[in-house]
Amino acid sequence: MRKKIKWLWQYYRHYKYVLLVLLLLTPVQAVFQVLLPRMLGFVIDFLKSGIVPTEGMAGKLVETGQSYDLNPSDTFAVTFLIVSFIAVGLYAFVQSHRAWMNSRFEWLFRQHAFNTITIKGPDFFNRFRTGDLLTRLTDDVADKLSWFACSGIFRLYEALAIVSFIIAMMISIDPLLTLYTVGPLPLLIFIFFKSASLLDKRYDLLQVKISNFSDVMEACFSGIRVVKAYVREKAQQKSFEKAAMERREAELSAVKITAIVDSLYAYVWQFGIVIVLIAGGWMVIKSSLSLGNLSAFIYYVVWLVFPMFDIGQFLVKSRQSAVSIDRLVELEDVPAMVKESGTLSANGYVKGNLSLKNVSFGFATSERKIVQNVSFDIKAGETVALVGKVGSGKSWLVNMIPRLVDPTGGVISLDGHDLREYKLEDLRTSIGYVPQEPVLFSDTIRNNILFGRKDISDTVLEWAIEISQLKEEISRFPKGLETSIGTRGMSISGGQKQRVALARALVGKPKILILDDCTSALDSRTESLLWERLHEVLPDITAILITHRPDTLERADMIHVMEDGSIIESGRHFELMAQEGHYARIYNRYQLEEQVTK
Amino acid sequence: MTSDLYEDEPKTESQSKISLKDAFGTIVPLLKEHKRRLGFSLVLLTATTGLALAWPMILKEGIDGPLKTGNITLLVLLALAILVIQAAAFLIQYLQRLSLEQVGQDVMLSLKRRLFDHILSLDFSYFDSNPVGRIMARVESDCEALRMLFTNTVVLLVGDMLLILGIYSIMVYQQWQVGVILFLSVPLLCVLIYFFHRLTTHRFFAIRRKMAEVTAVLSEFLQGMSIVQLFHRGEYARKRVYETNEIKFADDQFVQISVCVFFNLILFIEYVKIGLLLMLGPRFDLSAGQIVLFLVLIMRSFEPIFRTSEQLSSFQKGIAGARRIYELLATKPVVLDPVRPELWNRFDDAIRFEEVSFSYTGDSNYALKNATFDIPKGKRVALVGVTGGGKSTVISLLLRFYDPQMGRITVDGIDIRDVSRADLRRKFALVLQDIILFPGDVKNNIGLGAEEIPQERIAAAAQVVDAALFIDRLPKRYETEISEKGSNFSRGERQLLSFARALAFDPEILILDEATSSVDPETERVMAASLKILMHGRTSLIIAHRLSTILDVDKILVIKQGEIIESGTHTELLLQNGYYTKLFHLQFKSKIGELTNA
Repeated sequence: MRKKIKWLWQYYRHYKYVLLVLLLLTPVQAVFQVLLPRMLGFVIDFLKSGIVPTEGMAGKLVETGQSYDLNPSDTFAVTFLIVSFIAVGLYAFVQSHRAWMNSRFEWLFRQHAFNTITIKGPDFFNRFRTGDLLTRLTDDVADKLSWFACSGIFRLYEALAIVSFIIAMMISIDPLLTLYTVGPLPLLIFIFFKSASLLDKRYDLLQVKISNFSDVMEACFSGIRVVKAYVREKAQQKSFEKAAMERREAELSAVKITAIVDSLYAYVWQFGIVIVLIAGGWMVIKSSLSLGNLSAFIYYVVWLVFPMFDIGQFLVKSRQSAVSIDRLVELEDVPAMVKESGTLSANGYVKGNLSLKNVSFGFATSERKIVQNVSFDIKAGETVALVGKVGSGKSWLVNMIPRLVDPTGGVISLDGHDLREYKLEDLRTSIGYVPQEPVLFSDTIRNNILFGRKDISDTVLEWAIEISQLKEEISRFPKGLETSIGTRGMSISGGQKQRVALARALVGKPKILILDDCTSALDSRTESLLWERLHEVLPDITAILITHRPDTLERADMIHVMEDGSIIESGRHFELMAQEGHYARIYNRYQLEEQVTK
Repeated sequence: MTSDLYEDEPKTESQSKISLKDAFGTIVPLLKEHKRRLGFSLVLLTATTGLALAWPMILKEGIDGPLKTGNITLLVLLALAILVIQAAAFLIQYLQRLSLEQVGQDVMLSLKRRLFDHILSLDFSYFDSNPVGRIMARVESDCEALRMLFTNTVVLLVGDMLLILGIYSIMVYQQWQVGVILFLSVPLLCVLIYFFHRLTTHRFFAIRRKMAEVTAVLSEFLQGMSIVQLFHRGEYARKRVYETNEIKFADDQFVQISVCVFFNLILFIEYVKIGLLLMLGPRFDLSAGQIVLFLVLIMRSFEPIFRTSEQLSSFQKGIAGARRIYELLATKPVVLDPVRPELWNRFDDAIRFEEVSFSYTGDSNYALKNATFDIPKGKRVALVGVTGGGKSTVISLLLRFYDPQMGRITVDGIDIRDVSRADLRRKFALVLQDIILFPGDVKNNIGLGAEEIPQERIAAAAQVVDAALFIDRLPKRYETEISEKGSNFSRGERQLLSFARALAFDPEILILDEATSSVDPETERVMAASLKILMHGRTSLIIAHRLSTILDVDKILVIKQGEIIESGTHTELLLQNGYYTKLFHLQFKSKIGELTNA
């Protein structure tokens, strides 16, 4: 509990002004609101009895009114208007601050959660699927938490204030009557709470039925091939019917309880009125209570329902919100895999000499070593090729160079310094990486290539586009570089995506270039042209290529063959071919592949 | 739910052209079917309204009567009368709510059923161009929106109007001048509601769109976080999310604060009315009872006014949903059964493809070009080639999921377009790479709910393909529920289930798309053996990836880029030393190990 309050406080403490407004003004506006029925009471008394009050609040008001030439009932009316204006004004002020804070919280929680996620490592994304993360950042944050964090808490505060002031008012009118009336009201909270849990059960069942219904539809539509091929349309209709009927039953069952609870709320306070009417009426008849005060009393009794409802709501919602806070804290608590502790600046001074010594890697959650004791050196400007089956560890090995993950054993050095000594930003910006599956974003092509980097000149941009064989294609796009791609833009082919990803890596003028099978989707002609150009540029860059291309392999300065996380053969192409070992077999395969697919 | 993403899609051009009359035309007849129950709900609603107005009247009588005269007995009687009336109102409101809910659920069930049946009849091109989530949103959220519109919004509006009418009728009846003056607030409020609606509605929808935008941006960055980190673009990602977040927040806070202001403005108008009442009351000689009556009525009139403004947005949603549903129902399938289908009782001779050309996109981008071949009865034919070559297209065309643009496909000399689709498809059994399982138990997934397949046949089929081994080990054997798309079974087990399915249906022709990924040798052995049994003596068309398969079949068709370039037996093709030889070495030779391990 305390942890949750601390968690909320870290956000609230930046909004002290709002906090102050809500804390101070809430009871103040409650006071004004609670005064209003009293005024009504005065008028009614005056009208019924015709006696001009001279004592107490009523008397003072009449006096003031007389100085403005107003008769008593008009005085009360004007006072009422003034007080209600203040009450409404204050309430609007408080309520709009609450509403504003609610939206603000949604914004804050989401941004903060996302910010913490941006530094988490692959282990985090293995554990939390995108769908789950999305739900936490949208549903949990928006639907459940944001309202509760402000309105939930402060409406409780307001409700407690109003209830206290109303009861205080009622006591000041007549303590005994208050006792008779207030008695049954805690029953309301109890009923609400009890029915909420009963409702919970039915709603849980409803959720299950809704899920089933969705499942039937999803399976049918996703599996429409099988449905049509086996002529199973009627069977699907029967399944659908069954799921839909069950859902209907569950909906009605839930509504039955909801309807009772709603009606209960609407009518339970009638008891209060009846009691007031009888007991209070008796007192009026015996002249121990004025009619006006009775009216005020009735008004207060009716009014008490609403804060009771708010209190009940708070109890229910606080449970849900506690769960949501837990879900967000869970994300924060996972430590980042890679620490940013280096201070060495790399910009402009990177030569590109890489050295791997006994490098191993495995996730903490499994015993399997993905990379085992890999050692080799790459001199600046060299082109090294990595080959091996799927799962041999190539991709994870190269991931360690830009420090997506750190080795769990051994050391990787750049220009003589452990990678961890460098400022992370400097290190990563010296490296260009093109993954196997090109990941682009919904934005313009230009923004995808630049990827938020501001210091890139147009010359360099054009250079990168030209090498990637994109120049002609982009000129044929509707808006050239400004064409939007992605979910709300044009959809481009796999080959085009790969080339954009390459341009993105090149445009940073990296000193180290890592390419992971990045031209597989291109047709042979474009691929050849691209590599021709690329090979012209490579001598100036340290390159690590994971590739299937026979031509590229032939030109590499060094080839390492990986299997099960270790290097099993190393050498230049012709040496390895002569050995007639693993590499030779792999190379022959690649050759066949090329002939068959291109 | 996947369908949430498609809940508030922006209106397409074709949707804007749909008139309201057409759009509602789908639901109005359904409502007419239930008109008696709808009418009953309305009657109950009127009764509730009447009772809601009754108790303030009794209160007035009580105040002006027994409270003045001191008649306690009468007072108690009146108080009890209020109690009884409220109890009746409670009951009636409960019944009304329930009855309305039932009508709504029944209407929705009819609509959903109709939509589902229609979707099942649509062409494959519809499923190709519409993600499952969007299709589900039509049946799910659009139907919901329509139902809410008719059974909630409209009814509530009617009820509220009745209430307002009743309130002012009473007032005018009691004291017409005061009643009329107070009634003047109604047009004022209508104007206010109108302005509020104009001001906020489009923002309200903008918020939902922007929420979708936020979700989309978050989703992209969450999925691509490794690339973001590799390029050290965390700052950029945070900024992008911040921007979308901020945009939503701007609309959010505007709407929230507008709602606040609006709410309090209306509240203040009610207070002004009370103030007016206090001033007018004495001037028009209203009794104390009348004043209390008017007070209660004014308080009562606040709720419906505020509720009405909230309902207006559900109008928009309902209309948008209706348009989308209409558009869906207006989409008609193109691949249809012939008016007078020819009978094709038994497969006797051969299946022939005669110069068949087909393009998914309807233009010159052919997936299959001039395909000509035949599958004689009893023969097993394999299709080989690289991904995307056209093999799956052959299957889709054979099952008449699409019609070719050129050429024709015949079965026993009859064009398949002249046979009913059910007749055609019943002769085949399709086994796919992605094994499609449906919610239900094991026996339902094997028999697909077909009544003509008894349990014995299902068990026998499972036995033959060796699936019975693992089914018997399950807690409920054939009645074991398949969970979450079959995740409780291994890949091999799911494949065996689909073999069992094919066998249980005992088709005249088997169509099989073999899985490309390898499984462990033991499972591989079991699957190869089962497949042999399945294929024994049965006409088969197989997209082959297994070495054992191509060695076993009677004819191999080699497809490259939509064209059949070679055909013959395995030995014949190898002797040609062409494309097939290379393909064989690439795709199948490496699996020789599978054979020797067996």
